[in-house]
Amino acid sequence: MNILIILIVISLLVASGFAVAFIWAVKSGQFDDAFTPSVRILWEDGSKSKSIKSQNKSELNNPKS
Amino acid sequence: MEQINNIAEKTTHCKHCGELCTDIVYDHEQQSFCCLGCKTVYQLLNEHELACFYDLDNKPGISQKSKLKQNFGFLEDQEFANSLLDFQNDKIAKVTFSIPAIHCAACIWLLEKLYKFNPHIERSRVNFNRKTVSITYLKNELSLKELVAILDKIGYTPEIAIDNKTNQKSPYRKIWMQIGIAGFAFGNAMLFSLPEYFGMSIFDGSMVAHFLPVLNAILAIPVLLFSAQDYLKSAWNATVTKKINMDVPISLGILTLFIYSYYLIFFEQQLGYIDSFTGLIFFLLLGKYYQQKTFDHLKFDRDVKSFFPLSVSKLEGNKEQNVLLKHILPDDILRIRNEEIIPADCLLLSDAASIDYSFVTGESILEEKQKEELLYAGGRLKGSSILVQVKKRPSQSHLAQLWDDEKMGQSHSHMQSIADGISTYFTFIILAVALIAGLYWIMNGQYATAVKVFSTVLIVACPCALALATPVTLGNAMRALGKFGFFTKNTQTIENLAHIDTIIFDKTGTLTYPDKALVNFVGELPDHKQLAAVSTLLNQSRHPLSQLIFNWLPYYPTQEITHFKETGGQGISAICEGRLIKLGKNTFVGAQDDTGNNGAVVYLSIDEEIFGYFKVKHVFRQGISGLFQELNHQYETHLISGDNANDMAEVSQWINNQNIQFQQLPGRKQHYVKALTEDRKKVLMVGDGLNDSGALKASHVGLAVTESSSQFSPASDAITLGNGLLQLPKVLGLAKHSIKVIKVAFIVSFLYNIIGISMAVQGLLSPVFAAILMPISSVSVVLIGLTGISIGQKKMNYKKQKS
Repeated sequence: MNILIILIVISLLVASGFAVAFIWAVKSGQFDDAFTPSVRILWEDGSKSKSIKSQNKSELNNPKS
Repeated sequence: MEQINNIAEKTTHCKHCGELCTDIVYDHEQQSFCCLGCKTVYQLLNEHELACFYDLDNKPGISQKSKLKQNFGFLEDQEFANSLLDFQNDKIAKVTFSIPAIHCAACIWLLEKLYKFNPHIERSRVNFNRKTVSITYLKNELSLKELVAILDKIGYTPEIAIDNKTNQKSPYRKIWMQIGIAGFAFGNAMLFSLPEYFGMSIFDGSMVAHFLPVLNAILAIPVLLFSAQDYLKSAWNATVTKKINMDVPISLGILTLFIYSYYLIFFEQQLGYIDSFTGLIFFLLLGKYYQQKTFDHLKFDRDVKSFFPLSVSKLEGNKEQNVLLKHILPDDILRIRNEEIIPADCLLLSDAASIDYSFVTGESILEEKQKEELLYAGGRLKGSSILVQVKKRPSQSHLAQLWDDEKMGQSHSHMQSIADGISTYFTFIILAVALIAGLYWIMNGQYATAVKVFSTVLIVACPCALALATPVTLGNAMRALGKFGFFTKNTQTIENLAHIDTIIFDKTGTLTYPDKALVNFVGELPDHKQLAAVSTLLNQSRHPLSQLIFNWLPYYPTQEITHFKETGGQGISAICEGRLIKLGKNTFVGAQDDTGNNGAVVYLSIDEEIFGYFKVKHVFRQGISGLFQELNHQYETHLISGDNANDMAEVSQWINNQNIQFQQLPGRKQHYVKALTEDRKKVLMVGDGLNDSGALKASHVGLAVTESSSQFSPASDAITLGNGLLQLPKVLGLAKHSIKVIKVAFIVSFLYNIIGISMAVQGLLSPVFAAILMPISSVSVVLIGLTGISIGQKKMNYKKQKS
């Protein structure tokens, strides 16, 4: 049964690894802003704006007033 | 009345900011804008191919209408600019700005596309929760001032204050780590205690049985020293200063569990209660974290320092230079412009100046100062610019102090003081109950139960639920009122509002529109060319009548005028294309007074030839009669006005004739309010906050009605923006409702404590369970506060629709 001690120590070491990883993540600021990245990832670059862009350009060429 | 109807009919919304377009609608590419500023931003975004900003959210822009032109000259000061930077090397610099205007996903999108506006901006990153943007830019190509100007141009003006170097680190980092460590220890301790949970004895006699408790004991050390340190420190400080706070019983519970477990592990060879101990701290910290988040959310801070100018124009020889406030020395000569604040005690060098000391005294009456008179710091200049000589070094903290005094003057909320009082006794009662229960179990010979009961009672009892009820409910009510366009200075005001039974109104600017009036011209209007000059002249002056007439006149392009002069209380004059234009009182213009005793007339003369006069009649706000119908059910209403009794007929439909007073001086108004309060009436004074600040102060609640939130009057307890006045019945209803909610929350937290403690005393609760219950009770009180208010809000909205 004493062999269990080795397993317990290993499990504790693995768990400590996660604890250290968590502390590192907090210290490097990964938890500081949980909202902005979730919005940022949804944007595509450009593709949507192209149609609007060309439309606006034609409007800009003959501005009202 | 034609004019108001026109206003109501136009329901175009600004493409940029979504505000109702009232006066003039600016058209561009078939889009409407409420002001020139919004239109400019729209064009700017289009030019830089960023128009999909408008697809991301509905009307996401920031209104440019009430924006003040800001001078960022102080950023030229290299030393100051460097103090704002987070980082710099010889090529790039990184700066973080706090931008309160960030409010939606489209803002993030736009601010992270800053590199499209200027190629020298490398990257920008928004932190939405903290409302900051970090910008990396090439510092040799782009100065900090230019960078701020770009942000300002698109409507995201950064807030720059001397000590506002935005701290990038989240204040939560420590508690996150504490929770992490406690959670780690808790999980592992539970794992090692698992055989014990099921009563298994497989390890009996083996090394493992001795090994596991020791591991537990090791796990407990970082939890005690790091995770629980805030509780222990706070409790220690409290005992040293002999002020018992609620961390004392918690710390006692923690220490009891820890020491008893160590005793069991090392002397009795048992497993101990390390799983309970770590779990307890884990859940306590989670509760604390939630609480902190809630409070941060409710924080309603108004940073006084942003009211004061950071740099001033100093005169050196013939040159003007922007100098940092802290570099100003006595005998320096400064130029103060219109609406700027006087930074230090100084001597007036110009001929005359009018200063608004409402920041200092709460009295918003302009003080006229003559040459060589001493001006005290904190006043705001109204009118043309002046030169002053500094007498005393300015101190940012002294200026801030003026405002803080106001804040300190507020008494604590009545409800809050009850809760605080109970909490203090509460701690002693809990300590006594825990000791007695512990002794009882010891006398019965059950030492394990005695320790368990002692610590459980200490943990489960939760004065925080009591202490939370008032700030959470009132804080949330404050936010709900903000949605009605009604801003209170503090939570105390809401409690006072709930007890109001008498309401006094001021007329001009409160019941009437301050910026819209029926203007007509008696006499013959001059031709358009001259009217254009008159219009320009009117726009130079800040007097309300000038603004009213200016708005009434059709739009004319600005003319060139010289020799502009504003004579306080008399009129304005200037020369345009060789013609002398005068606007003002009959005595100023040199006309015969043929209007009777009517104050609101402005005579016009060009080259001493009198054309006639503008007559300004104030217009009552729309929906005023509805407002009074609602209010008269429950409240006694009064009207007190400085004007003459022209509108008596109209007003008396709404208010009992006995309660109407016309032609009252500000001093009399204050007296009137005082007489009512001495009559044991709870008075709400509603005024424009400009000439009735004395009355506002004398009342239980002073409500200032202003058109722009920048005109904050320190004398008032609450401000509402223009038409927010019509929401008054709702606001008062909600205030009453929130007091009810607080009472319910009190009852709930009392019940919780009584039931929790009586179970804990009997040994029916384990410490871990108590640690879970405690934050739940706080959360439930918070939930009652939040849902109670939002229910009240809905009820008020429903009522409004019905009526």
